[in-house]
Amino acid sequence: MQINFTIKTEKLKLFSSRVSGLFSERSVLLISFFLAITSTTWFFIMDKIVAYGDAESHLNIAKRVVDGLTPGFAQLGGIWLPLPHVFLIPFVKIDFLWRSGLAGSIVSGTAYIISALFIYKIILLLFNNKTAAFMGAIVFVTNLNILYLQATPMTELTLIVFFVISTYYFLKFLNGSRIIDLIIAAFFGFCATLSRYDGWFFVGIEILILMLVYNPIKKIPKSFSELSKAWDIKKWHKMEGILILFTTLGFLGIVMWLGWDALILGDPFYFTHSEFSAKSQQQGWLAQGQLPTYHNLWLSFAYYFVTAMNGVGMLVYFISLVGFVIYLKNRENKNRFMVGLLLANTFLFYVLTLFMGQSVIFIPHITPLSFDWTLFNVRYGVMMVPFAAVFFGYLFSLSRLSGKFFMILLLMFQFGLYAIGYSSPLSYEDGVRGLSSSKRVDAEKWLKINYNGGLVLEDDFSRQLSIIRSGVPMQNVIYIGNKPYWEESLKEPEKYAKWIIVQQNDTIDKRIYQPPAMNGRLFKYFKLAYTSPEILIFERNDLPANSQ
Amino acid sequence: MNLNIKNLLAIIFLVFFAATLYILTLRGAPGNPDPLTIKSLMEGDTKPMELSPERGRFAHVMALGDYGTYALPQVLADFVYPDVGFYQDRYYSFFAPGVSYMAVPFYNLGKLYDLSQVFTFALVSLVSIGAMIFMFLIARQIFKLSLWASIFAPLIFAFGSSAWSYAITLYQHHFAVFFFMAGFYAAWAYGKNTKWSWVWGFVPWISYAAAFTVDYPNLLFLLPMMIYFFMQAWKLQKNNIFWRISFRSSFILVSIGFIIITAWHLNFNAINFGGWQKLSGTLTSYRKLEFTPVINEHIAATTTIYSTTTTIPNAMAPKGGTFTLVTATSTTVTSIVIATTTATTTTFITTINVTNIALKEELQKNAIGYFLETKFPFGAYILLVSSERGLFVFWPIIIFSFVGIYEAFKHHKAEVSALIGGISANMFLYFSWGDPWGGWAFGPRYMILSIAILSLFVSYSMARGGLQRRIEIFILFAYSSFISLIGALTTNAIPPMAEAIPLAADYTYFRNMSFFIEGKSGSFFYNAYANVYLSLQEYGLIIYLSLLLVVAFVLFVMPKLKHAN
Repeated sequence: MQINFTIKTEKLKLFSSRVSGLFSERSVLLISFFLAITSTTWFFIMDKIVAYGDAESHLNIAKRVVDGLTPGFAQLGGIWLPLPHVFLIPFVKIDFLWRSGLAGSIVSGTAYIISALFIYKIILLLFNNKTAAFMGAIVFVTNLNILYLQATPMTELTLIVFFVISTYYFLKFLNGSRIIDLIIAAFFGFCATLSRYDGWFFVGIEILILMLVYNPIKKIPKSFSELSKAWDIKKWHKMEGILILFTTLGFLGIVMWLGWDALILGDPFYFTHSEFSAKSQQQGWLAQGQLPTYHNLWLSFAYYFVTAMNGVGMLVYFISLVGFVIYLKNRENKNRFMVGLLLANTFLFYVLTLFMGQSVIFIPHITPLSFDWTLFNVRYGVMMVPFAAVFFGYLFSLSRLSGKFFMILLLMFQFGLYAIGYSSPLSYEDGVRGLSSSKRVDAEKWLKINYNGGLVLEDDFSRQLSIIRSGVPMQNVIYIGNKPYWEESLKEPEKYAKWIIVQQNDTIDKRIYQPPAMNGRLFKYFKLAYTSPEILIFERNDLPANSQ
Repeated sequence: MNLNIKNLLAIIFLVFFAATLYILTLRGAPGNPDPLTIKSLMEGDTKPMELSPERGRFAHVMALGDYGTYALPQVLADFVYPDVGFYQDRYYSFFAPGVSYMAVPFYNLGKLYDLSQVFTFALVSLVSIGAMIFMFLIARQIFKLSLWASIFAPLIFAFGSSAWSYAITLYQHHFAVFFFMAGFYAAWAYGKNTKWSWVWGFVPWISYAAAFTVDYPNLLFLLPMMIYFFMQAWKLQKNNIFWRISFRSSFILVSIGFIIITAWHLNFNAINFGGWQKLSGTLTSYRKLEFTPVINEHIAATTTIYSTTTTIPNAMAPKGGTFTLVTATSTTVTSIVIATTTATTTTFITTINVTNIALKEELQKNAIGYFLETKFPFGAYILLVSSERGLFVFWPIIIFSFVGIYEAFKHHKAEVSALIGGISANMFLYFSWGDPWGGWAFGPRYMILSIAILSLFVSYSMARGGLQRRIEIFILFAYSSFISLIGALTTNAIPPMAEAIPLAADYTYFRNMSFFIEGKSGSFFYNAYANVYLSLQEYGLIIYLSLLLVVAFVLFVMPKLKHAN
């Protein structure tokens, strides 16, 4: 016995066309906007927007430009690239947005929405399939790691948006050779180079692709005499022009940054030489024997492969890898290796930097338990989400109806894995319990209640005590970037500060609290108002309340 | 099932050949062990009860056969330890009950011949032979492979992989293979939509329910087979005027077997574990904590106490000892009170804080708590390439299965998708499992279902290849089957590297090689009869050469025969 359902083909086509009409840019914008607002509200209620230690630092850098003791663009510093902080500036001016971290949510959230749109456009451009483009965008916008990071002041989304916009116009240029597309790609590449150092590699890859696509070598010369014949001079000139055009804008950001560091900090490579640089921090791990990927290509690959798997979501990741392989195998795809290289550039970048010891990732069950930490920097994996979205979309475009249905099922199953606790968004976990998390110390609460005005001397690089949670106005904080307040306070602590926060092993601890002579001076002018194992807070003896 | 004479002869050959090899290697010892003598079967290397999985299941078989109850008496609970939990006053192993229930008739039959343990273990060999028959049928009828290639598929699985070691002892893996293969074949036969094909519909349903009683992860492993079965019930007709989707209502009607078995299973859970949804694996652990008391001078230097997350049952009190655990302080234990008790008095001795232990166990005691995505990469490493359990190390013939998958997919998309689904589910789950080694085990025992499925694709690849491919496959088979044979003849007790190093033991199949050279075997037939005439090496060599001879005949002679294609 059979049960039959019959539908008229005409009606089915009508329904199908109506449904496919929903897979538009507008839908992507609406969905991403809705998800951005919802998830940001959720993380705001849960007080997790500024969970990362770095999140507060980004907010504070921007805040000091407009509201610090010595405001100005010099406060942007010379380690982290400036563009994410520049975007934060108008929002951190409002104290509530600064202290809550919502200033960062606005910037990252906007980047998230635009990224979703351009991922849709990239897939549409490459595969000319609206449904696939929509599914790719869905993969991106529903990624839990992305949803968390877009609610925070972290810089990943800022880079991703420039990466996808530049990629879109770059691919458009490769398809149609319109110079305007190349210029736009170069401009957003320029923005990427001023957002995160990953952007430098990205622009480098774009240049490499241009050289490969426009290479003037007709064939590999077998002898020296064949060299001139193998060389196409017209093509050479074309490549030269394109490269100069792209590089001028694409590399401008890098040149600007080197110039900035030279001008402000006296060393164009301050960002890599200084004690605050990532490289210096990695040296510390190396000295402890806790940099497993250093000069180990296999482990570098394995670490980032797993990090990317978590960043993307396990099932989506493997589906996208299948899509990637099929894409590369399909000879019909024009410039397929170039497209693959462009979209997978972040993978190469992280494997390379892990290998060189320029970055570090700790991930549970890969990192040995004997290490001090097993969860750190796993958010780097989210840089592969656009890659995964595009190749998920590609595979979707190739699949038949049953295959499409199956892929949607797997995408839903991915959420099931999160729901049952099999998978967890480690970018969020790292902010909450990993080494990247900011500590919530009791001293913050104490200061919030007892602070009654006056300048506060604090080494904020130590980051044990949060300025935004302590209630101290930014213009009342003396930190390393406030010349001459900082240097003078280290010699004469009583000169400006009413409050001194000593955090275990920070500069103030080493320069004021530990040396006996300075310690005597400290206790002469200040009384110990708060004590905890890690933090001491001193209050000036002789100043009346509410004076600065 | 359209069985012509050639296929029937091939099946008869497979049954006899496999039965012979299984009899020659079956683990066991003569006699009818009782709760007091059974410990002699577990002490020492290469004994039939060397590891807790077979101990746990066999203990339940004994409890069912001898006492008529699934719950374990104290002495059997100690025998099964540490894989034992409790509910109220009753002990249970953590293993699903299906295998033990199915083995009871064999146990009772074996008792008549003073071979209860041997007969019980022989059930698994029979199930494995059943799986081989369905593998043959799948290769022959679904993939339309030649006769010789169809015969080779089950041989690679059964005797060319570490699956051999688990077909001769009381493990669940061959049941999973049997139910998967039977269900898959039946689902395909059901999809043929002939007059009587609906009868086949009973099999996938029954297989699915029965597989769940045997091992809980089978619910996931057999899901692709069930999806394939479900898809077979649908038919789509389309033209310019209409789309018609038809669904065979018999799909629902034939689920009666599933309903009956599952109802029994859920009722079993309710009666024994206190809830239809409670599984044996989630029972509270029965733990012996070694502890050295210092408070009371009358306490022995070392005594045994028990920790739990609920109140402690009286049954947990160690019998015959001086000290008895009185009670836990609350339902979630923060401390355990140790006291001496007599019929009339209780003397307080000490309190031990067990918060961390108890909470840790409580957190892990749910069905999915052991599976984590972050464990996946390491699990994949252990089960694919490590020298401890790596599939590529124990069964390098796997590389040909990739070619087979690629080629088979072109012609049998739905079937290959379902089979790959089974492999994916198997790998997905066990790569993410906290203990990918499977405890002390020989080879990748968790991959046995995948090995069975991949064997079909190895055969597919070979059928499409030429002589060179057959030679390559034969060489790899010779390597894998030798490792498998020494594993089957000696022991499954190979520790993971982390445990082996402190014990100065080997964690690869070289440990089996050592036993093989020393002449230590777990084979019932060898120990009972053949060791008078042959050394273990001679015995092994005879089996090995016979196997190679048969396989060489299948691979190189049969393709030349007119009737073998």
